[in-house]
Amino acid sequence: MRKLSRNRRGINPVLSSLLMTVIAVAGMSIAITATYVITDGLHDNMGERLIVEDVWFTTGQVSLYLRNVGKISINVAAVYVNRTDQSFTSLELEQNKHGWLNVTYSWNADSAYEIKVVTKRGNNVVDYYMSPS
Amino acid sequence: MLWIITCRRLKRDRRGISNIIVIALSLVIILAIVSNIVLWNYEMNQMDWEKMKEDVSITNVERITLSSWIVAQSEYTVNIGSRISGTYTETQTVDDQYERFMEASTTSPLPYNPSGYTVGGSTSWISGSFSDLTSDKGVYMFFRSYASASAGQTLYAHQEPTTIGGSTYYLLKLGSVDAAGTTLSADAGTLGRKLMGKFVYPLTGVSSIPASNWTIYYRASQGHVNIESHCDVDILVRMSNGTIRSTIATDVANSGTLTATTSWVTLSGTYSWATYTVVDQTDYLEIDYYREVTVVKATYLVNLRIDDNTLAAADQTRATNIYLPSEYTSEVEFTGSSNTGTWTQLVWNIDSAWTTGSVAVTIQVYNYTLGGYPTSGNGYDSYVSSSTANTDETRNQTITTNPDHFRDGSGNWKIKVKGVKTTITQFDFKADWIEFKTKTADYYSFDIAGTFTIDISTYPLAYIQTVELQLRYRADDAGEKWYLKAYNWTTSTYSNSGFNSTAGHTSTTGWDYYAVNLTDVWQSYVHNNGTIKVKFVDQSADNDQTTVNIDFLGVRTKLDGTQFTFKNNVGLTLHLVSLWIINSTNHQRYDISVFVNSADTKIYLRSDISLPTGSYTVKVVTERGNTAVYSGS
Repeated sequence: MRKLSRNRRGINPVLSSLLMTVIAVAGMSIAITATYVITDGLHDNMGERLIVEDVWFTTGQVSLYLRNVGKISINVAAVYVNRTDQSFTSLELEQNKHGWLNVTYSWNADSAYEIKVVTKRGNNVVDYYMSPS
Repeated sequence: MLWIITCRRLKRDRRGISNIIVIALSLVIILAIVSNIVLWNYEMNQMDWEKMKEDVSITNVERITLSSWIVAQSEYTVNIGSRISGTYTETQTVDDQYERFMEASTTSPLPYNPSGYTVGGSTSWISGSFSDLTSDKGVYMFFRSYASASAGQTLYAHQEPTTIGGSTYYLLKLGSVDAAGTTLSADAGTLGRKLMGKFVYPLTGVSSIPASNWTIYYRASQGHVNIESHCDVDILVRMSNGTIRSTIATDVANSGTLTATTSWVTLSGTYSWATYTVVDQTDYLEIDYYREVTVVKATYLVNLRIDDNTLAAADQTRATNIYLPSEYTSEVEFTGSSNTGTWTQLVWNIDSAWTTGSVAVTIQVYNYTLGGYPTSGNGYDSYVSSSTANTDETRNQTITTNPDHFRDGSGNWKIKVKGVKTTITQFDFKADWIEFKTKTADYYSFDIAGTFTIDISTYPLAYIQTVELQLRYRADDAGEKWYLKAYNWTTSTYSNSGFNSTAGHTSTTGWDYYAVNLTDVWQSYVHNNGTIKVKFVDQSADNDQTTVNIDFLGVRTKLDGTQFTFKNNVGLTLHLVSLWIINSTNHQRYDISVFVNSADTKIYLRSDISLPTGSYTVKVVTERGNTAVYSGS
């Protein structure tokens, strides 16, 4: 203790090494977290797949039967009919699940409609469907 | 040497080490990011690629009304008989291959049940059929007894009412009075006959009322000593709808005149009743009691007292010496057929009950050698039934001495059951089980059973309309009759009850088809797991040892379903997950899970799907998200 108290130059390298180690670990943690955050969104975005099994035109309503064929759950964020946002019953589909998406819309007989379903992650499925005559 | 120099330089230049570490770590992070994205991208691309490669089509959709034949998957159980050649696999298709069996001598008792009956006297059949007599199961044939003897009896005027055709009457009963009594009154202020009350007696079980001299007693009084009156009756038969069938007598059985007293007195009058044959046993005998006032007294009454249990029997208002049934008898002769083999033993069993207690019962088996019913020994039994009504009792007898005396040359037999009881109440005979069981030497019979399993995943029981059995066989005994039966899971017996045909099939000695339909009772014969047990038997044992060849025995279901044909046109295995039936009014989706191998065609049957009338579209969706469409009408 007497030697250490007399030789202060021996403590500095130890403290500096410890400090550097802490900084390095913290930096790596931040880097790894950033990596996870950056790739996770991309990962989910790439894993979404959605198909429309059936479209049924009923009075004042267009019903789309959706199936989640991707690797991640899907939440429908918007439905556009002829590029116009429409109200619809909310629908969330887990992986391999399926269900009706009911869109309130007054359609005309024997007409083609472009229907686009957009997920919360921004993916979409769009196609043209003919209403019955 | 080089290593030592490098180490020394590195020790001198610590900043170089830090740079290398930073670069290495950065590379690791970048590699992690890139590999994660690239691998995931690769995986999704592969999924998309597989989806693009999928090619499924629906090549046919058709309505199905019959399933394919379901055949035996294991060897038949030979209960009576023997297998000569072949196996059960040769009964799976109609071809030249068949399984051969032969009848075997049976030492097992052969049971027979009645197939006809004749009633004795005026016994009448009420309900039930011969199928109720095949086992001791508490389901009966009912026969109603008839009045076999009559005796002079007394009908007491009771105050209990009954309604006939909307009108109220008092009851006449054979039993003595049982109430505190009622006084029936009429105005004595005017002359003439005054109706005091109408009394009826139901003629149930009464076929006739023989001639006799009736005495009618009246318990009468009047309100004033100056009144003069007497009692009399009208007698008639009233139908159950209230109308009069026959007026027998009017103003008869006149009593002596009641005068100078206001006390209660018992008067009487007589009537000579002629024999009356009851037209309908739902009719009623009616006695209308009258008081005829011959000297009036205004504001006073004439009275008739009935049903007063404080009075002696001799003072009751009543009609005596009316000949009504005092004994009832039920007599039924059951007939049946059997075989003409050499009998070594005969056992008859009768399980029955009576709707009244303590009936003297006689059971007799007809002796064809004797030419009549025995009165003792073999073929005769007598007993008094239980004192408790409706108690099932089983009687039987084993005959080993000349048992074949109890059948004719064609194997026919007769058993007579007679029950007699001295009673005023008609009763019924309830026949539950009647069996005539023979043991036969050198007599041949046949009985095999097979198990068939309906695939309930393909043909759910809820969608089966009925089940059909079909047999192709050849038997070399032209006169013999054969039956297909199925195991009834409810009654735990083999039966053909409820089949569209229970008459069996008579062999032509050539190849014969014999098919039966289980109609709407098929559910009794099919277990919940789809198992149906089928038995092929001869009608009864006979002298000929018949050879039976079975080419085909199968079961199929009748339904209203749809058959789809899916074709996989590529090298990937397909998994179909959704099926749509779409027409102009409905879009119906069904969950399915059908795998179609690469370049393969799959036939998929759904019993629960009926194709709509008119134009329709069938759509099938794969797990990867591709769709195939078929349009039909």
